[in-house]
Amino acid sequence: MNLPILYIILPSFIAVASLIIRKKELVYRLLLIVLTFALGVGAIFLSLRAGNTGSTLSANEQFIVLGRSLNVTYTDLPLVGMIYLVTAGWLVAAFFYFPHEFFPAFCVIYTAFIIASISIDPFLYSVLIIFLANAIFLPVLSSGFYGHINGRMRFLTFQLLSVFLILLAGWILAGGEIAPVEEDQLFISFILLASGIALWLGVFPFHTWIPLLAEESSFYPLGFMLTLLPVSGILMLMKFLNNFAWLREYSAFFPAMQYLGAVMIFLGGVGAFFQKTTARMAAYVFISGIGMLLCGVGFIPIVSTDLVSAWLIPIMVGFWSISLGMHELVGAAAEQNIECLSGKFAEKPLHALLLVGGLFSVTGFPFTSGFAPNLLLLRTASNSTQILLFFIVGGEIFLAMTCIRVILRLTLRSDKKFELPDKISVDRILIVFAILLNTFQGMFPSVLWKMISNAMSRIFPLI
Amino acid sequence: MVDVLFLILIAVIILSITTLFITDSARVALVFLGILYLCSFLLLMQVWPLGLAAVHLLTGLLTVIIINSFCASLTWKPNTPRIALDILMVVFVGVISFAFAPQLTAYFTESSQNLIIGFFLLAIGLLQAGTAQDAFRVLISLLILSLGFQIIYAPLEGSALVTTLISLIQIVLAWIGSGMVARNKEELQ
Repeated sequence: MNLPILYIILPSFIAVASLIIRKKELVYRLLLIVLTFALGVGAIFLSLRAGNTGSTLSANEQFIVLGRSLNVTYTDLPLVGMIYLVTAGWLVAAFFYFPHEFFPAFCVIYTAFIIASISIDPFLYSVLIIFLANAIFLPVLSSGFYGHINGRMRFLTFQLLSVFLILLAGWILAGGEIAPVEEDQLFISFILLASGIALWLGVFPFHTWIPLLAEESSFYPLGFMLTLLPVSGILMLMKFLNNFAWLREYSAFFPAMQYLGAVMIFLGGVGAFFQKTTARMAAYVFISGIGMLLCGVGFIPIVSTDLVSAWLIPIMVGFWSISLGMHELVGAAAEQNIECLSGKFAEKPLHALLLVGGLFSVTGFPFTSGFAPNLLLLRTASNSTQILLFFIVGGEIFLAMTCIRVILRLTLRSDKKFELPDKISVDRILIVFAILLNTFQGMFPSVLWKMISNAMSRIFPLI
Repeated sequence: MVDVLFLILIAVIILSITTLFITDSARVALVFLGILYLCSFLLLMQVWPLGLAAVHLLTGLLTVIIINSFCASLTWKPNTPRIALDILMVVFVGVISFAFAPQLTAYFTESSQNLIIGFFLLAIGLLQAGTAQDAFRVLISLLILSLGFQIIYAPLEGSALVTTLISLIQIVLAWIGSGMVARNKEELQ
């Protein structure tokens, strides 16, 4: 058994091959759901077995391709498993709500590429793989609307530029592994790296592609991409930190990440509150979520990787809930005005709850998965400067006001009567499960968080 | 590199870029994009083995063919102020590249000729991608940007995997981009 083949190459091949049977929708979708679920559970099971001292595992962790290697180690497996389980969640919901015939296969390919980007050695090449994944995923994102393509072109431009900047920064920094880097070289590589990451993750002032893209895409595939894209970006940033001591010791790096993250939280909150269209509102909430993760990276010298790993689950659950909720309540036409949410609580109460739960998770509201990470973030930031705290708290206040605005739209203007459905359909069970998971994670945050935190500290031992 | 070859290459590149931006036909633009790939092949041959440089040339030509299959029939009305702006942009970026690119040799261990041409293509591609209104021009600008980067990056990294990935990116970009541009034009008409 070879882990890179099992977790990268095999899923990609199966996903591509499954396109042949895409007309047999049930078989096609079930195959990919079972595949991702089995890979996710299998990865976690293998990592647990590897942790047992008595067990002997003989899987090869390396796969050589064109002189370079893909390395999926037992240490990486919990993270790999979590990513596959998240994809399985998206595929299960797509089974009921998103009938796009290419989406499931491209979802699996995208996930396999993300895993490849995490596992490639030298890891600098991961940006190339992620750009490839994004470009391939773009037609699925488009969903048949081509009247305006400015957002998609800007997305391609920013992503391409970020690839080049990160590759150049990486080349300069790579010299630092064997010989000390000069101060000005370090400064140049820091600027290149920061600009590259900013373009990639949509960090202020390069965030414009996210709202533009949201206006041109369906919520559901966009939500999927914007869940995995920042996660891969943050993981790559942490690999940079883990591998280059020069960067860890560079005095401007961590404060810069803190401020960028805080500004993104503020910008996302303010932006979300003042938007008139649902697509742009969701996009700004996503920007806030990415800001939370960046803040987590910024506070690594104080709390290590704890804050990043704590925010991973709320971001994944929150983005999934917002995307699915918006998709079901607003529909495929992502440009619709926020007024279209009026009275939807009576019409689709579960989806309305899911949407509100997702928004509250990103805000860090009590009884949602974002609560504990938010407390940790605020406690850590309170020891830092007042301006930083002002941006974070200000952004969260605006996010909370956005949640209230959505709740008012969903409930107050309704002339329809609330009715309980006669029978329970299977898809409702999924929605209830997601809402309960979000609440459970809010009340008992350490259950899943400990697993992710342990995995992160093993993957990045030096930070 | 022989100075004469460098001068010929830079002259051909500047003329190709200028023609590419002021033409009113996608087909003409693609011919000159092909010429740019040929020039970059001659440059890359100085630092890469012939096989890798040939991969770059073939990828470039394939890119041109893919875009041609989607967008061959595209035409647009020439806009005089825009043409003036484009020519000014080429002159401006050309001057900046000749003045500042050689100083980058302090950071990148490669010849100043490579840096001048790479930086020129990178900067002009970036400026065009930022200022162009038309999606087709943005796509072509992205490919020029990518070409400029490859010329700068080639002496630094000669890995087969990177060449493969960059080639793949170029082909996917051309395929996805030109598909979107073609459908966008159809919907607008």
